[in-house]
Amino acid sequence: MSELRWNPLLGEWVATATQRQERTFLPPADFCPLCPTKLGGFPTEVPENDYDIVVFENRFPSLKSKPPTPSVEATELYNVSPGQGVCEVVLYSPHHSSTLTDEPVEQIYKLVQVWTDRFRELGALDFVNYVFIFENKGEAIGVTLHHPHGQIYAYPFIPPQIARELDQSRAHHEHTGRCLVCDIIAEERRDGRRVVMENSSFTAYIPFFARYPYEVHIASTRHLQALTDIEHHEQRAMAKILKALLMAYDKLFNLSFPYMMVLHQRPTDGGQYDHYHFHIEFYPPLRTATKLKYLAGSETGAGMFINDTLAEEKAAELRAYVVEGGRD
Amino acid sequence: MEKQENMQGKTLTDRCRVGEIRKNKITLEDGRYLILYSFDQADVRSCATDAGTSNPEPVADEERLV
Repeated sequence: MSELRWNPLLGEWVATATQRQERTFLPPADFCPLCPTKLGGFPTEVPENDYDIVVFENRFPSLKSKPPTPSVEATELYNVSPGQGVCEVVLYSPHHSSTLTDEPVEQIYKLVQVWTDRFRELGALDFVNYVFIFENKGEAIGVTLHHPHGQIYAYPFIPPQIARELDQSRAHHEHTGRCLVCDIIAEERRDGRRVVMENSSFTAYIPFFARYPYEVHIASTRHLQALTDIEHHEQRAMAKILKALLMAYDKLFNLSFPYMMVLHQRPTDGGQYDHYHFHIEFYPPLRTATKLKYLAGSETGAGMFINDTLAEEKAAELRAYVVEGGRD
Repeated sequence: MEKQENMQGKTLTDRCRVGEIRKNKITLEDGRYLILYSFDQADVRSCATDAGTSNPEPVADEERLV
C-alpha cells in the first residue's frame, strides 16, 4: 500500500508505504541484492555486470508511477492522494565494498552525468514536479544495504524543505534584486573561516547557520538552477570537489564517514525559478568519532536545531584534511 | 508556461548513444525498468580535454588526490 496523507497541522504530505516494512535489511555481503548476479548464483537486482552505473526502480518504493487506490477515503479535513511518483536506486559501482569516496574522480564525473540524465528524464514526466537526488550512507543514517548506492525520489509535489528554500530565495530576490545563495557564497568567501575548499566552479563551506557539526554545502560559483544547466567543465569540477570533500570526511576520524547527501535543484513543474540556486548539502550525523548528533525533542518537535559546535572551528578541522588535488 | 519549455537539453532515448553516455534500458521480470549506463574510455579522454586539462590522458585519481 502506498498513498499520500495530508497533514493539515503542518500543511504537508506524508507517504505511507507499508510494503517497505518487508525490505531487505543488512544482508551478508554474499547475499547482497545490489551486486551483479553471479553465474549460478542467486538472482540479484542487476542481471548484468558490464556497466559503469546502474539505475533501477526501487523494489520497495515509497511512490509508484501507477499507484494503487488509497486504502482510505478522503474527508474534508484529511485529504488522501495516490502515492504517485518514481523511486529509483542508483548503483555507483558493481563492487560491493566500495563507497563513493573510494571511487575515482572519473567515476564520480560519470555519476554527475547520470544524475543529470535522471533529472532530465524524470522531471519531464507529467506527474513529477520535483526530482530529489540523495544518498544515505552508513548504518548511523539507517542504511539497510551497504553496496554503494544513492537514490532518487521523483515527487508529485514540491517537498516542504525545498518549498521553504524557494520562498526564502524569492523573498530575498524581491527585496535585494540578488540571488540568496550567491550572496551566501560571497559572504562565506569574504569571511573565509568557514570555507572548506573551492575550485574554479564550486565552493564548499560549513554555512554560518549549520545545524550539524560537519554540515557542508557545495554551491556552484555560477548562478544556475539545476544539473541540466551545468557545463562539462563544471561537471568535472563538481566531481573533483565531491571527491576531495568525501576524502576529508573519511580522514577526519579515520573511518568511513556516514552522511546524508542531498541535491537541491529547481522544481520541474514548469514554473520560473531563476531566483533559485543549485547546491548540494551534506548532513553527517557524527559530532565526534564516537558520538552522534541526535534529532531530539527540540529538533524534531520544534524544528529548532541546536548545534554543539562552531562552524568556524569545524571548517578548520576539515580543511586540514583537504588535499590539493581537490582544487583545479 | 508549459513544462517541456523548461527542460533544457534532450532526453536520452532507450538503447542509444548521445555524447559520452551509452544507455541500455531493460525491463525486469516484475515490470520494473533497469538502466545500464556505460561510458567509453575515449569519451573520458574527450571529457578531460573539455575540462581544459593539459594532459588529456586519464590520470589515476590516487595520483591526484591521495
